[in-house]
Amino acid sequence: MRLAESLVAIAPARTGRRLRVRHLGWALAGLASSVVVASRLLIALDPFTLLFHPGPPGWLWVTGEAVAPVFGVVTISLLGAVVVTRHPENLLGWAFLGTALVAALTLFCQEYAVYGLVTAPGLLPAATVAAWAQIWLYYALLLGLTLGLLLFPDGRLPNRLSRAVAVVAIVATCFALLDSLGNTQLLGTTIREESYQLPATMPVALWGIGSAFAWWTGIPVFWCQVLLLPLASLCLTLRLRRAQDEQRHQLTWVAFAGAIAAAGWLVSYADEVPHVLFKTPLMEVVDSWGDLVWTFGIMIAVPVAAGFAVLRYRLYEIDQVINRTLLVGGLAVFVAGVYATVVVGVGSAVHSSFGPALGLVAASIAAVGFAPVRARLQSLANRLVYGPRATPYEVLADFAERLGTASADDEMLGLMARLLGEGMGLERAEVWLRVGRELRLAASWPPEPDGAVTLALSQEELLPTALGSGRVVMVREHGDLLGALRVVKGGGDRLDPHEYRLLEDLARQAALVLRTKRLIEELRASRQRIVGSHDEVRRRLERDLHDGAQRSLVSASLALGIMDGQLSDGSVDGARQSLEAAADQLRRGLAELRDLARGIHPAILVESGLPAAIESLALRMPIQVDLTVTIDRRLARAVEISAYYFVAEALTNAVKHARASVVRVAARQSDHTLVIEVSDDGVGGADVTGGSGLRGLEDRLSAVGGRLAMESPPLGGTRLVAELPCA
Amino acid sequence: MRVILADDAVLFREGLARVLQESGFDVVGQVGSATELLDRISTQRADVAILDVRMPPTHTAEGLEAAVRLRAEAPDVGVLLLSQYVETQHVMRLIEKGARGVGYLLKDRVSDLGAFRSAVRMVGEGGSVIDPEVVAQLVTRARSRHPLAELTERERAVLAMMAEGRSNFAIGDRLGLGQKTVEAHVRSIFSKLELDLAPDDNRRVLAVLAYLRS
Repeated sequence: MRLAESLVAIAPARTGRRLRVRHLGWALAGLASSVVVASRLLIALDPFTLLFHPGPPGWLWVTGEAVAPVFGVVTISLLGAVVVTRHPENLLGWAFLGTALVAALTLFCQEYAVYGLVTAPGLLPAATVAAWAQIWLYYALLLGLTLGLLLFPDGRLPNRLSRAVAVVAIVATCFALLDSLGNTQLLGTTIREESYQLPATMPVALWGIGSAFAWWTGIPVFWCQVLLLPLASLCLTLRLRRAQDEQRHQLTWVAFAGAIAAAGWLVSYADEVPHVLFKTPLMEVVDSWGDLVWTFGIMIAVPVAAGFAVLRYRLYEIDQVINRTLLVGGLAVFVAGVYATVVVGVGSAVHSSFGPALGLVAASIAAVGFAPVRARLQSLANRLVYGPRATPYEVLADFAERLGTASADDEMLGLMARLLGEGMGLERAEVWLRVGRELRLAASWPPEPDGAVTLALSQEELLPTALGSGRVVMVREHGDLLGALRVVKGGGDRLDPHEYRLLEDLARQAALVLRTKRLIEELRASRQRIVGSHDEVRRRLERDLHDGAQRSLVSASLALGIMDGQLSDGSVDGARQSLEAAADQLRRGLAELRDLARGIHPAILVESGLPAAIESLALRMPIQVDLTVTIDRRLARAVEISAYYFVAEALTNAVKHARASVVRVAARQSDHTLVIEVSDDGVGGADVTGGSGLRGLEDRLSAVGGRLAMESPPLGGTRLVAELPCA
Repeated sequence: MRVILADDAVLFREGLARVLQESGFDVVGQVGSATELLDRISTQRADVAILDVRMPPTHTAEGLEAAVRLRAEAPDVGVLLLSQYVETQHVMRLIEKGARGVGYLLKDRVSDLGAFRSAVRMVGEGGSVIDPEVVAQLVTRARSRHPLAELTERERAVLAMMAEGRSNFAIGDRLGLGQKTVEAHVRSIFSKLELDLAPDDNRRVLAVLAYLRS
């Protein structure tokens, strides 16, 4: 996506007009580019008019003089043409084109004047006019640059401050033009790195008018011109703070480059300050460095940044670049400051023979102070760039490191929520863990007292909204939902794409932890169920014995006691009755014991294998059971037992809960899998989470590496499928 | 002697009622749960209530709870608790407030009709009957350096019978000993165990059981 598309398109112009506008745009860009190239050719005719100065190395001068202007003008004019052809109504395009053209003309007039007045006097016509023109054009150029920064990126002046700056810029430029007429001095070049004096002055006839204005507007206009560019750059930065998402990325680069250029611009005016402290040789060096920074900033950095913003705004790690620049720039200022204070400041106060020693002192102070200052600057830079939070890279690295060393216990998820919340400067961070068929709030930042919040996992796609406001990232592994991270930024802000990417990275890291945690949780739950079902089985056994066989035996023994008395009394008939009663009770007791024993462990399974055991189960069912069992060999004991109980439970459910009339049992075994399907024609609507024995079955099956699947639509019968691995 | 039966196993209850009636007891009521029993007792005068420990609705220890309440609310009604298994805790709950008119027997004991009849009668007359199984559990409990070890075999047999609620006369009859001999054994036991010689059989049961349990 290009900037041009994201810019506000008001109404598409008619095609014909659009075509003309496009031609005009490209024509202007071509013109500006040709003119700037021509101006450089003029320099090439006589490079000796370039003066080299102390400070930056010579090649930097040449680059700044010869390459940077061409680059800047061509880039800006092309960008202008791009924006103009796509969105003619966007003022930014025109501002870019106009600025590029004015810059090219300024450069050309400047070199024309140098050549016509100095290098080959009298060879070129109207060289003096060119000398005047380059002054006036330069003011127009400054205005263009200011407006360009203010209008970026959508061609509008978005707030009162930027509108005020624009108005002041226009007014100040008008006055500057008038004031320049009153200049009685020899004129200088405007865009060369070091101003070069020309043997020409403003037209003498206009001196009077100019100085009349300059008398009362000169100084305010000068300061306006010094401060307007930095102000425009500041406006851009202020807008950056409020910008969101894409626009933020577009603005970031340009604001950054604009800030650098503006800083250089301000520094280059240091020697204009009317104070003795600013008239030292050191200041001259500083001044020329500032000039160079300004040149490269405005000619290269800003156009490049604007180009990036226009063509491809999704730039990575811009935050980090700025962060590093702040750090390095701050350190340079620190070292230079120490050096200047000690060597220049103290050196001028004491005897000059201390000179070398002072250099050592300065170096020592700088060396000792370096580390603490660096730390301070780093945290300052972090706070400026990222706000009250760590860098995303630090968060990620810290996260990975801590996860690597810590165990996956309960605190793990709390730590995860905290790292997330603190690292990303969030208002709230939550870690949700999937356990079984629900999503459970496992940890949050800031921490909250445990209120077991759970969400049933009915429809996965609805979950992100179900979890609440903010951004939700589902944590998955091979498509398996492990949990979710939910983050809420303060003040209702949305995550920018950068933060979202960080969140996604964290989510990937979190997968490992969540999976481990979930396994632990599931294991714990399953163990509890197993222990619970074990207890339940014993309880039921005791009940069955107590109410069944034991009771029958007691009754039998009572009957025998009665018989004893009857025999003593000689009542043979009564004794026979009692004997029959006792025998009856004994038979009943035995039957009950038999059933019980089979329930505890089906002997037939061990004796004759699964098919026989399933058949025996089916025969004892009070409803019709259709069997299709194709198992041709004995399987592992654990598999047979699990399969048997699966069928037993499924059949019992079909009779007891589903009220089925026919049940179909199909068991088939391949090389590695045993699949048993039990389907009935009952009422359906069964639920694993309900109190039925399905949960226990699931545990039992998973204990041997098997799986349970169920379909049980209401009124649609129930179909249970168990898959067990068998070697 | 008026008897009320409470057991949810109808067959067993009917058989028991028949046995008791044939033995001259007056079975004035048969109920299937503890609450019914308590209701019935409040309107129907009875000398003994025979009840199962486990009954509806919870099938845990309703019978025991009903027996404890009965002991508190109608102390002159003897309570004979039947259970399919022996639990010392149950006995202790039952005799907490005195062993008068208290019985605790395994259900199996009913097949010995003579012994069962006399147990019912004993409880109805205010005596105590504790199942030998309970006493055996207590007596044989392994304990290090216990004074029980100092008792002779005969003395231990006498102690067990005292705990079951038997009188000196019954003990002598059972072991084939003279009255005087039994009394001598009892005195010896009490002095070896450093117990106060209790005047009546019921308090003797309490003392012995409390001792055995400690």
